[in-house]
Amino acid sequence: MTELEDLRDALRARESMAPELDVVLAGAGRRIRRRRVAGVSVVVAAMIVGVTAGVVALRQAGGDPDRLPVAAPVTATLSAPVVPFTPAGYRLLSWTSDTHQITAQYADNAGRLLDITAQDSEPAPDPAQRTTALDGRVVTVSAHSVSWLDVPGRWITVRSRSVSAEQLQAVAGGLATIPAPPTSPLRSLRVPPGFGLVSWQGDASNDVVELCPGGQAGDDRCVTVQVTRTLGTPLPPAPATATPQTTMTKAPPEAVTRRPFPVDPRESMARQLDATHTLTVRTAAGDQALAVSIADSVAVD
Amino acid sequence: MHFEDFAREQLPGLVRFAAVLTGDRELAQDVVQDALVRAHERWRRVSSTDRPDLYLRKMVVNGYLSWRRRWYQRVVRPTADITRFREPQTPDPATRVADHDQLGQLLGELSRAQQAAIVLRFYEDRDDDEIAEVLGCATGTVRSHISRGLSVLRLRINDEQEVA
Repeated sequence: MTELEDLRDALRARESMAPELDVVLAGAGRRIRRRRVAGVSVVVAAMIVGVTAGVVALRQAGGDPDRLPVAAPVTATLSAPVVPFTPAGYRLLSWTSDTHQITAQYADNAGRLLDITAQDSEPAPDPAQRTTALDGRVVTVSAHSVSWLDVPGRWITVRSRSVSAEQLQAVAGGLATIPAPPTSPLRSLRVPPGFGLVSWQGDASNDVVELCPGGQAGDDRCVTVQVTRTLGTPLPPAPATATPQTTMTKAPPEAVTRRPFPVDPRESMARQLDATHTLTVRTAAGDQALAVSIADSVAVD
Repeated sequence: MHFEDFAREQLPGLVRFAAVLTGDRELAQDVVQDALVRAHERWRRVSSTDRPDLYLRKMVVNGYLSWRRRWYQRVVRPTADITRFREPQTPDPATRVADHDQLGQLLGELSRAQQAAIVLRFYEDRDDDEIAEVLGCATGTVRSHISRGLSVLRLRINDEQEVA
């Protein structure tokens, strides 16, 4: 059996954890009836780990769901996500951040991988974990991870299956929580009023941020901004007997290239930032002018 | 179509999807109930979309992505000696079940967005466009989530096999 078939099998095996349909339906029905009676208003606060921009949205349940929630004034400039840890001997490969956590993946010169996560909730318990002291910290240790409460409201977990448990504890014990902002062309991006950062991920070839009204994911007006770094590859020389059909040419990159409405209806526009960086802005139902203004605010350092 | 009829029709598939996504019965129940309540609030908009089934999945996935463990959900478990992981493993008739559990545990170590993309692709056989609509991202990001998630799973499975 192939590995993908194994994966499908393992996923199907999880169906056994499905709750009873009647229980789900009855619970949803009770909540719908309660909302009708109470007319509750819900205040939602979004917390973004490692990013300075914050949004507070006030939302009225039962009101017009299409109305943009009232938001507090936001910082216009998007600060780069701060990866708050620096493991000695490892280089940063990629990171992913959302409203509750930031995870970064590292590698050392021998190719050993390490994942470090900072999150605002306690990590899920592992049946095999034990609590111990490590360099003055109280840590939770399992075969492949070490976790601890760094500061109130922030748990850090170091994971690796490439190193021994002792090496893992050594990395965790020596971990410096020194912010290391990764370089990103999206640092210059200006967040429109009423929008908040929902997620940010990046690696050597891609940087992607998602901005949504009120900082709430799942809205059709959310905007995805992506910068792709292309590695320059020289074109092969034209053969001596080339016909016009086989001669390859390449148009020089334009300083600003905007494609009008695209093959992918979710793509609002694309722009060549420089010879190796391409910016794409996408939104399913958002304002096109907004997408253009976001794109115009991004520049490569 | 009335909301109640739509909910009854969609519920079996939605509940199974939530269970596979979260790997937890109670959490699956929570996110599906949240999604149904929100779909009821927005029924006018939901019923007018081309793919209300994807809209519901989007709400389930968003519920999972934004789920935070509440203090009363913390479970205290007895500690165990981690050195047992270094002991040689003898063949077990329940190996297939253990492999599924292992893969489920490894899946839980991916980012939630990667988990969602992998479940949508390999459990529900959704294509890039459908997954992008559910996750609210670009198709390139979908491919990136799946590619990275599978790479990490492969690396970790290989590491486990080497240790064994």
